[in-house]
Amino acid sequence: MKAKWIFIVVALLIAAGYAGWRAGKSGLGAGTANNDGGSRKVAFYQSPMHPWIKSEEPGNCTICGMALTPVYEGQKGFEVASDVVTLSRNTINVIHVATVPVTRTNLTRGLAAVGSAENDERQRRVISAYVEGRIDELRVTFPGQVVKQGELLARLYSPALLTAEREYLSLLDAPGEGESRGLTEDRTRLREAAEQRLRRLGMSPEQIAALGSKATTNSVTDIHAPFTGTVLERMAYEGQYVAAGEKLFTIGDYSRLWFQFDIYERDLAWIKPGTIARITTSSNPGKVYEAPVSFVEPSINPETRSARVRVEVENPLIGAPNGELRHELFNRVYAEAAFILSVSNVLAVPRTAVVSARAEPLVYVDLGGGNYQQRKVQLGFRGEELVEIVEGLEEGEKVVTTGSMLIDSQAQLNQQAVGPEETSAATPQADARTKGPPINLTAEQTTFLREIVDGAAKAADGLAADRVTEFNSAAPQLAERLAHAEHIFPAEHAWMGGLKKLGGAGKLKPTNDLREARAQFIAFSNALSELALHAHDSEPFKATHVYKCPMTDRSMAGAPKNGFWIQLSGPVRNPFFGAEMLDCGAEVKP
Amino acid sequence: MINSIIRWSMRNGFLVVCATLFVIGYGSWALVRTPVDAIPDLSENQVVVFADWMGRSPQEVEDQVTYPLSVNLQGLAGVKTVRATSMFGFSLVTIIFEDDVDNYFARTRVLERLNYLSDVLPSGVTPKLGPDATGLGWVYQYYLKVDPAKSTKGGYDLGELRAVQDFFVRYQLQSVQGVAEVASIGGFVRQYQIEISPKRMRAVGVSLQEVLEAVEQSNLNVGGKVMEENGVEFVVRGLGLVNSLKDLESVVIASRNGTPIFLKEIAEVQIGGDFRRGALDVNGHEVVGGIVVMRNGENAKQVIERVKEKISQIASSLPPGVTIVPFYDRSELIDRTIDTLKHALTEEIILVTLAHIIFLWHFRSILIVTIPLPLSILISFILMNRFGMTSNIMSLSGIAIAIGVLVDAAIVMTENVIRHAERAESIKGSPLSARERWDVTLEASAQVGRPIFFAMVIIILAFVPVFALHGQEGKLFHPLAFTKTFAMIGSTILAITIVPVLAAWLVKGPFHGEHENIVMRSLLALYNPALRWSLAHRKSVIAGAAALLGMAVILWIGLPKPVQRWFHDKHWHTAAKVSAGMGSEFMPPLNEGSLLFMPVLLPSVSLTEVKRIMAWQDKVMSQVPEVTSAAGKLGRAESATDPAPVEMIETTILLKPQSEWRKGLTREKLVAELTEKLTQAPGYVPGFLQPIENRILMISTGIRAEVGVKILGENLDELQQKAFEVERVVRSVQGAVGVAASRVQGKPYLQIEVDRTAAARFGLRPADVLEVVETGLGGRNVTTTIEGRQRYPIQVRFNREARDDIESLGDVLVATPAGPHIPLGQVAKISRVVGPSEIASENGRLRVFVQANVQDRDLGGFVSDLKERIGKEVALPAGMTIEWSGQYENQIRAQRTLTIIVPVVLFTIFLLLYIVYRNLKEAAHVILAVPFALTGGVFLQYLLGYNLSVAVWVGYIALFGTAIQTGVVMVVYLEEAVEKKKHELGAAFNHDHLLEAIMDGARLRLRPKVMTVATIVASLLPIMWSTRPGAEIMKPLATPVIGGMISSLIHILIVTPVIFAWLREREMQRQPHN
Repeated sequence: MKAKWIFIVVALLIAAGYAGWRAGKSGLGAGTANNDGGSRKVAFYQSPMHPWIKSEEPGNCTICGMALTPVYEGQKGFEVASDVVTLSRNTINVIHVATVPVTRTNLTRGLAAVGSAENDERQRRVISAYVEGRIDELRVTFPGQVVKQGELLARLYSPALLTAEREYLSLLDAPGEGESRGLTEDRTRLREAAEQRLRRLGMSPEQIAALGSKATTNSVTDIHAPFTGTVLERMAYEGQYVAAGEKLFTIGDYSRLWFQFDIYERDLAWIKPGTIARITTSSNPGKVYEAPVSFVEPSINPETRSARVRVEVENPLIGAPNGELRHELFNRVYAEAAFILSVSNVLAVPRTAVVSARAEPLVYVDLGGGNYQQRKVQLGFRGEELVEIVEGLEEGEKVVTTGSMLIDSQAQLNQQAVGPEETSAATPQADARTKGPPINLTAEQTTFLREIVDGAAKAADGLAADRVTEFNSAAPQLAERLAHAEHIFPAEHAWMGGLKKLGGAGKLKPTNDLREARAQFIAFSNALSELALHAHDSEPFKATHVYKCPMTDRSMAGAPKNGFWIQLSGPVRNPFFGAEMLDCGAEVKP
Repeated sequence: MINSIIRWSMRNGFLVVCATLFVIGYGSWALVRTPVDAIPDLSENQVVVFADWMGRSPQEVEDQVTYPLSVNLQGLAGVKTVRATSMFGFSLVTIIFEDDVDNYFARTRVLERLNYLSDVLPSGVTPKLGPDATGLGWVYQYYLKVDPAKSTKGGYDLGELRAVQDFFVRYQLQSVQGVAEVASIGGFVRQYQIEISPKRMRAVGVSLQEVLEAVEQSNLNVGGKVMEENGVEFVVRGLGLVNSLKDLESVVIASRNGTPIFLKEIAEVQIGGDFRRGALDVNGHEVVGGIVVMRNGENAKQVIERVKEKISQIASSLPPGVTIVPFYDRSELIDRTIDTLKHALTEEIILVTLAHIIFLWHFRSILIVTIPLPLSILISFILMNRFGMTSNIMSLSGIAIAIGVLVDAAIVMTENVIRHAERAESIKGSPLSARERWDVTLEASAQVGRPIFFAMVIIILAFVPVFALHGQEGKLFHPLAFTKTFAMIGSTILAITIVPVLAAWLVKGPFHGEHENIVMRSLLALYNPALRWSLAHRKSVIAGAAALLGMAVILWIGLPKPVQRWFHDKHWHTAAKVSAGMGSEFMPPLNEGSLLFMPVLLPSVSLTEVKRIMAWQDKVMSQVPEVTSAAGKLGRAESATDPAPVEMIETTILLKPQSEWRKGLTREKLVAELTEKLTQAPGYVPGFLQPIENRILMISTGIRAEVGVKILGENLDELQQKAFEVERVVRSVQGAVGVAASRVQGKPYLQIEVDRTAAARFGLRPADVLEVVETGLGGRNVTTTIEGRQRYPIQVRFNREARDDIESLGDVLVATPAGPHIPLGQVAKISRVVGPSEIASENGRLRVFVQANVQDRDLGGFVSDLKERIGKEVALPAGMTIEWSGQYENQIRAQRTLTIIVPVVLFTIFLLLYIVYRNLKEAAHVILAVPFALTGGVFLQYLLGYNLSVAVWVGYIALFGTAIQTGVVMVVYLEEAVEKKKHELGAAFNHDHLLEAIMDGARLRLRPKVMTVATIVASLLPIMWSTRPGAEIMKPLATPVIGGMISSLIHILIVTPVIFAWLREREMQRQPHN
């Protein structure tokens, strides 16, 4: 009995202990699980489906009820900036970001057109019967037959011609002995007249010359090909009686072809004589003929609103592979052409760099250090691969060619996180700058400004190298000089406002803290850069380059978003980030 | 009446047993028949009408399809509202019916209307009724896995696999009973593509129209009836169907001077992929798959089993090397959840039995308790079956949390019978005869029968407010409330029928008195001095109880904000934390054991780019060791239940069982790790959900926030501007948090606008020009091949060269009626603009909304404030209206309902208590037990770190009833003891006697009370220590009950006698000479 009790009590205790342990493990575990990942600071929470919904506190999306995803401070890509997207090295690899520099180059594009091959209008001959007569023999039996120059085309029996021949032949006989000089002269005149007649009747001088040896039984006259070409038409048949002037054959010379293309009104401006056309024909696939435009028809066909453009090409079939001379029919063959349009020496980027998902075309500029800045651009001539940038980019800047769509999505997410009101308010402070006219300075003023510029450039260079020594040596001088500005510049001087601002900003003191030095420097540097941009045409500032980094607020707390600085020479060396992001920045042109 | 039922039952034991057997039979049948699913269907009662209009922009779809559909579908019987979305290429109209309308009735009504709606729609648009299922019916998703080693030719392309899916797997699975549809996703639908060259078309001089006609008329079979020959009948068949590319190539378009122009002369004919708006990717490889959608109200588990069976049947008929592999299978979740509940129930029953043994030490009587328990569960299933409810985590939770209370009636009754029998035996001095036992049992049963019955009724009544919950909460918790109530009804009936019968049969000697039981003895040894001390120091006891109550209130609602801030400033962090009050949340989500990754990219991103990103994501996720597979779906499957745009990725991540995870890894940490990895690609915000959770989210089209300002009108841009304006006003109203306006997201459009004057010069009508845009650029499926079981569209389109480059679109040629061809750019203006990616409307008017939640302010006040401000500050142009909506309507309605129901319930309970006691003071006294019972719940909830959620509330409501029930019996005992003492002593009864009587009564009550509490706590403990899926939903429910039961134990054992004594003393003082 006792043993039973003990057993039960022990069993109970074990059960209770187990229960407590299990409950503690599972129940408490569920309660504390939310505190995971507390090592990093959460910047904000964003809804995965409705990214414009953002909250300081964890919770659910108001619209869809999904839990908001935490975005940590310093998480690459998610920092809120109106136009810069920062990506980590990893991310750049994941989406295969590729960049190319903006270059000045020639752009080409093909303008497609269709047309047909025609024979050269200038090389077309009609052979007609000069005299009436009967065709006794016909050597040309079908159109398309190739004839060589002088080749016999037909034999004509023509009584009229025969008579003329006979007459000529009779006059050809050598002068008799007793003939007077006058008679001989007459005969010669008559012979000449008869020869003339024969010529008019279509005989060539050679034929006439050969008449002498012509057998008297031979009553037909030969018709020869005037040049090498192709018979286009034949109207005569053997045995046919033809009247004088009747057309017998048309012969064309195909050694040169005319390609005629219809160019539509809207493209006409691009085509000029000399524009190169690349022609392909479906009858000779794979072969491309390249030739310049030789003629642009001055009038437009009212029906199609197009004009004809002529390109002359050596007949490709002549001199065919087997070496044989072929004068085949190539008439009215369908042809396609691409007219090579080009502009030269323009700023261009690959077409893949341009994101046109929104109202305005955008490109992303690689600022270095994983920073990509969004730029609105104005596009000009669109080439096959490249597109001209009329405005928005400088030569040498690197633009993103692959992955730009995803970067753009991220930029949009960031903008949505900022909200519509805030983005519109975030206008860069530098945009209001205008360039002033050059101002003549006194020698003293020039020296003064030059000292300031040199000091600032030296300080910037030192800070870019993560050293404070240069800054510390320049700082007291700059402060001292600026204190005297009023003595050197008259109060009404155009730059006095800028100088006063500089004096107000430039309370520079030596320090051993790099961060503090940068913080001091940024206000001064921004004011000086503003002045430098304004007065760039004046002597002391001519040599300066002004650079802008659009994200200095990430380098130090409380700093303005855009940091400017001057350098006397390139390449860009960012004084606000130093080694951390030395190449972040782009030159600002006055 | 109750006593007569008890008596009747005891007399007709056999009949009662027969009835019980019948209940067992019927109940088992019902148990098997009840549909099983993971969670209750939370979707609104809706009918979806889906209309495809391929290739049209949202604006076109909205104006020409959605609008006529929405306005014509209004005004059907029982329609609440008509919400619609126009997206690229399709329109989705959701007609929401009142909850009590039968869904099939509703569908018939909609169908009726659809019949004559084709007149108002553009030709070619056929509105279809969505399947009788919702996105929640996505129970099984699979893909076709290819093993290249086993396939005949080293693999299959996505077009072939899609054909297998579309023409074989899909129809096979669709034939499974309970499946509404099987939607294909991924790969390419094979298609014959005729890519015509506009230039060559020009060269041979044929028009697009001629080509279309020629293709259309070259694909048909006809019948020529029959022919007879020598008494034999021949069926005449005319054959002309396209069967191959060659057939298509030799389609003749026209004849010029006797020379036929074949299709191949102007076009390339090839087999390619149809235009698609969705893709599927598993672990970084593109695949073809399908989604099995279950019909509404089906038994998910059985449907999945049938589907799996079918899959194993057809496995051998698949092409060699192809297998069907699931990437989502809800049956696992159902199994696990049901398994959890089974485990919990088993553990609960064991623990309850154990408690019974310990306190009563009467083994035979265990049957009295354990038999009615499954019986009442069976009764609950019978009722569920009758009311058409499914068994799911919520409804089964209802049973699980009721177990303790279910056995309580039996326990009290058994305890009483045993006590009486024990006493009778000790009086008699020898074992009782059967007849005597019967008498004792009847007497004991009758004594507690009535209080037990009323106590059970009170518990049931106390749960009534749960039925007042509305909206999603209502849908979620009604099943729970129903099953709990059903089980309670069952147990109440059993307590007065079979329990006394069993007691009469089973309660036999030898009895072990309370004093022989070591547990009871030690408890009494503790209790006696404690009670004595308490009765002597009443003020301290009452003050202590009050202090605990105050403490609980602070934990619950927190101290005022300034005090909290003061604590914070003083760096008293613990104090600040304690005084902050409890957080609140809608509902702790069910751990589904798998994750759903759902990032949404910007609408401007193309399918190709989304696919690239998705493949990368899936690969990254599948490399995490805990992930079994990551199956990403972008865009939509071919189902009306999936209206997702291309930029939306839904990746189902199957996880390994938690036991195989790396050490110390929790779900939260895993999600954080995945999030971290996935943020490496820019352009989206990674977000994780769970599959069912996500389906619920996708289904709901209404306003989710507390307050929603809907702005309805006609012009989308104006509406958007107005929404921003309203957003600013809402932000400035005190108490508004999370203010968000819906945004029309920008989708890039390429607009080709006909220049009418320029076109007129060539005699072109807009249709001639736009034909080129529609057919030439977009492509048109002219006809469909019929090749045995398979059908592929034949599409005519310009070739890539002509349409690939946006910049040179202007060069595409348009045929003029006169013959010449002119470039498109000459008669149309081509421009890039940004337009909406989808358009939402409600009752036929465009809709934008501004949503907000409310913090630190009462909702009603906030809304009226906001209404006033907006009325004053936002000027609405003609045609624009503002409507108010949001959860606040529900909440205010619920509040209003509760303000009626809670007092009514309280009063009814009070009335019942009065019926039991016939004494107002006693009744009030019992009700007083409730707030003290709640304190323990609050403390435990705080300790376990649960926020206030509906689940916790429901737990408190359950506690409320139970607390009253336990109080009832205590007061009965005290009363009885005092009366007995009074009766013994008569006029000599004085203050000391009173205390003595109270002590006696309380001591007597110790055992049943401790037993009740022990069983209830024991019945809920398995839930608390369970880490299985599904337990996380029940834990918040059980927490208040467990904590509350323990505090109510102390309260009823210590404080109640003190108050009782105090009341009685006052009574005695007032009537000193009575």
